[in-house]
Amino acid sequence: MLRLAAQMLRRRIGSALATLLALTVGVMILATTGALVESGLRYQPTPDQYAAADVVVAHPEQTFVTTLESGDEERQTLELPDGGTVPASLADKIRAVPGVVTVAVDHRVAVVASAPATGHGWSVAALTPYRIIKGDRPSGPGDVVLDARVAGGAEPGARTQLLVAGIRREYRVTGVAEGSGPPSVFFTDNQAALLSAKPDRAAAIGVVAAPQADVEDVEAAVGGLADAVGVQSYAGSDRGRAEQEPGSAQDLLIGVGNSFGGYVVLLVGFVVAGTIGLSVRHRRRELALLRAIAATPGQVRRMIVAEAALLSLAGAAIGIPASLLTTGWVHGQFVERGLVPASFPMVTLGPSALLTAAIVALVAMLAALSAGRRTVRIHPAEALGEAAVEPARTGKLRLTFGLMTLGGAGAVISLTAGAGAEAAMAGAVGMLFLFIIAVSLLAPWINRASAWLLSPVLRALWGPSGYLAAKNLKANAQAMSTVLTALVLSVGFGGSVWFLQDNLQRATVSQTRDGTLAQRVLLSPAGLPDGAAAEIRRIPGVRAATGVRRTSVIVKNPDIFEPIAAQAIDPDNAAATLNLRVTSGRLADLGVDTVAVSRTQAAGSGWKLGRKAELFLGDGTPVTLRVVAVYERGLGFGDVILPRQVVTGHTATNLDDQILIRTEPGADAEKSLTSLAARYPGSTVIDSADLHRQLATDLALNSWLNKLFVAVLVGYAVLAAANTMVMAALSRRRELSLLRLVGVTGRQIKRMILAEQAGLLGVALIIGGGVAATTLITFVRALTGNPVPYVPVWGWLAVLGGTTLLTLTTTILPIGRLLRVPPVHSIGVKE
Amino acid sequence: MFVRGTFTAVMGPSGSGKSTLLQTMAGLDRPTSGRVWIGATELSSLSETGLTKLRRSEIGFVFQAFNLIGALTVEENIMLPLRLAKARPDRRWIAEVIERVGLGQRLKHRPAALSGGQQQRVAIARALATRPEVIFSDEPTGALDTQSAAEVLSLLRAMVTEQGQTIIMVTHDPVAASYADRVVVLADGRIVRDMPQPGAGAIAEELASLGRPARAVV
Repeated sequence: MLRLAAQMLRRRIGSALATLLALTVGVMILATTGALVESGLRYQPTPDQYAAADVVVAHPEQTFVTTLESGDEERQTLELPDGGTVPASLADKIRAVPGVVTVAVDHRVAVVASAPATGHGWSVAALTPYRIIKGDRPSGPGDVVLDARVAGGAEPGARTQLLVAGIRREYRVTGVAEGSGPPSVFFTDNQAALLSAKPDRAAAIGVVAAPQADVEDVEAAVGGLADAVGVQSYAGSDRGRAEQEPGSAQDLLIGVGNSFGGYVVLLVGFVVAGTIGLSVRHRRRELALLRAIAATPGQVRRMIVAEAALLSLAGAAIGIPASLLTTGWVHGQFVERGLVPASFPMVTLGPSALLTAAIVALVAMLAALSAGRRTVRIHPAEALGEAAVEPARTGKLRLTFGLMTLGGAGAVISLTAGAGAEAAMAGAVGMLFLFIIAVSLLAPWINRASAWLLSPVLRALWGPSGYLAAKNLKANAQAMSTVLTALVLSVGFGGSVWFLQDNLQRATVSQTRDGTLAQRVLLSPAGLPDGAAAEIRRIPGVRAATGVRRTSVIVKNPDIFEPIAAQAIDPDNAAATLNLRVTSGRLADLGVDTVAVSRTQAAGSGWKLGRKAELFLGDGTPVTLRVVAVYERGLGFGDVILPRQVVTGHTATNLDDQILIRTEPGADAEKSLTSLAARYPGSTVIDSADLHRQLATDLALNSWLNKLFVAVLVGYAVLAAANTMVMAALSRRRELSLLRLVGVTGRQIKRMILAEQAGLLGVALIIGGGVAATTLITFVRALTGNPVPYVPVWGWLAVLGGTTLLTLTTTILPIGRLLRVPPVHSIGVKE
Repeated sequence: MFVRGTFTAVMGPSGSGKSTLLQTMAGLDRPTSGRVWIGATELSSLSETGLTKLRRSEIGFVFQAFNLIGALTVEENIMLPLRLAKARPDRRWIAEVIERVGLGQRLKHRPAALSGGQQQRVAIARALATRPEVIFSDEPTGALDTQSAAEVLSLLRAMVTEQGQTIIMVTHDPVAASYADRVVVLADGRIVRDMPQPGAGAIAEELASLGRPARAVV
């Protein structure tokens, strides 16, 4: 069978090419996605800062447990968004472990020297190791050893100004040291502990074992101690994980899989199945002949499946090497945008490539099998007849499934309402796919109904050609199903997914803009200390100042734990700088152990005003807070707003990111603000309008990856539609020759095709547009409560113009080619 | 009842049931009533796969047109039934068949490169390749010019005379029917004449006489 299949393929290269193209591009997209995710998953950060330690105790991740109704426990391990801490007291217990010689407690402090750096206690220097190249170790509270990379030429004995925890202080440089890892500054151990927000907690504890000690025993003992307090210990090549910053390149790459993997697989499966199905359908007469002269139904089926297998093999052979290029390109783009370091090792040709090839082959073969199942019902006697028209057999089962899927898509509409941004996005895309599957199932009925509705229109517009076109649409209702589905897929996908992103960004920016009452903002990438907001409030002409710290919290939403964006604010007079559109409660009540939550988050987590809300801070600390306000502008300001004292010591730097400043009308506080900014190096005072413009730019940059994927997926859907239409057009060789032999002129045929395409295009635009609009409206309504989505003019033009261009070129051009061949030549033996 | 080693023409006006008879006899279609035997095998007792296997070994087909798989060469088309049956081809027989239909030079060509008559000769060769019990042929010359038609019909005739092949051919062309041993005429699904082949002129007359009473009724 395989040899026969190979022969059939080799001699029918033309029609096989279309299928091969769909398979190859599908493999390429899937393999690229797979390579990105695999690179993220397999990445082993190399130990750097703690390279000289044998065991590192840290708390980068935490396991959350849900008790299900059945009594079973579901465990979920999440990376802590602000990085967890370990109790400093653990160090004493570790020192008692036999074989341990050095234990260093790493209290980290944000420092800006000549460049940003991290401050540590001197004992931590031994873990890297850092070596003093000039001078000596710090011995007093005012002493510091500088990393040569941030020393800025300072010599031992010199006095230097450092910004430590947001405050400028003067230190005596006692030495300059060299080492690897991120740039560091060393204080005395005591001083480092005092400067950190919570001296009883540390970022990590490094352990060095005695040379003669068995590291495995030490590791086991330390691991047991760490386990007992719910933190992790790392040894060997795993030590790198203790150093990793949250939100790294690794997370980004794995995130690609989470957000797109499913859609990519679905879309590729959809397109591959459709294309293969169509190619089998077009060979109906040939298959009937095979059946008549000697092939059993099983043989025909095996031949079709073998062809699909061979084509997917060829698709993998081209698509996987091609994915090396695309993966390289995407990596290059990541590096250019600063999202992934250039040195990040990308895994190519890993198991994911094999998995991709297997998935695509499986989908192709299953599609062939199901198309083959239909051909078993081909009557061998069909080979005897003149016309190879597929009988109009559309099963009740198909109708039932189609209507059920449509109902399912409708049900998602109500589910999506009131969900958070991510859930709404996932719901919207899920709904989109359900709609398109429903269309693919119902396509024969849609085609028949639209042919009936359109025939007077087509006849009026195109005369006899229009009449023929209407007849063709009706007669080929079944065969045109794939074409209609491919078109609806392009329109529905292109018209919604791209704009989902746009609408999310717009809603975020507009909520931020409308919700910010402050006119000026003091911004500092290095962070601002608690006192800065208080200082600003004392400036004459300033009505209110609110320090804002961006962080994340982990919430149960409603069945799974997930990190969400949150802000911690200095609640004093915050109502003067922020308008969160509070629907119940009061923002002014934000105080000790309280929280304000967005409406969608309250609904998602089941929180109510005045009741307790249980959540986890960015470092994994569980807190129970009373809900004092519910607000609407969650996209702009995060879904959870905490008072600052709740997060003190629980965020990475413990500093404010920005201070919102509301000035009295007519007051001129500019000079005082500028001089204040000068006291906090790296900070600037800007207009809030500028900040919002910057936000829009940042969001666009962050959504670059999403847009890239959406563009690729839409492109693939369009390619599939083009492919399908070219295949369908070329399969009409005999039919058109016959028409010409009975006296229809080439011009009339072209007009007939034009009329057919106009009808098909109209139906596809109406249905696809309807699907896209429903998706967008549901999504935007869930996000903002406002049902009118924003679609830019160019968006309309691109969708309408693009589809029109697509339908016309992919049909008119191949038909034109067919018409150049004299009709008697095509009426012959070959289909 | 069709006797082994004879050439029968089935004739009749359009819609008289010629093709239906052929398809039921060949196991392409199942009769709503009545039974079909080929040799000792009763067709209605066979499954779809069983029918296919029977068609493969005991029956050859020559249709009016579109007889060949465009993707395969002449030789591959001829060998296709044997290949599907995974049967070892009888090389000498195949060579003889190819020699007999006169396509020795064109084995590597694909059907699109052949004339209509040549294509039909390939179809005949394919039908003969398995040494079938019977060959069914539906208007084998319907799409051919007179010269090619005569060649194809002579070939079929020779197969019966020289090899003792059984052939049942549906046609509405009296000239084609004149190559047969026996002519069966159908009208409205019934046999109305069953006679030894009386010559093209007589057949034409017989057919014309069938039309007259029908016209009289109208």
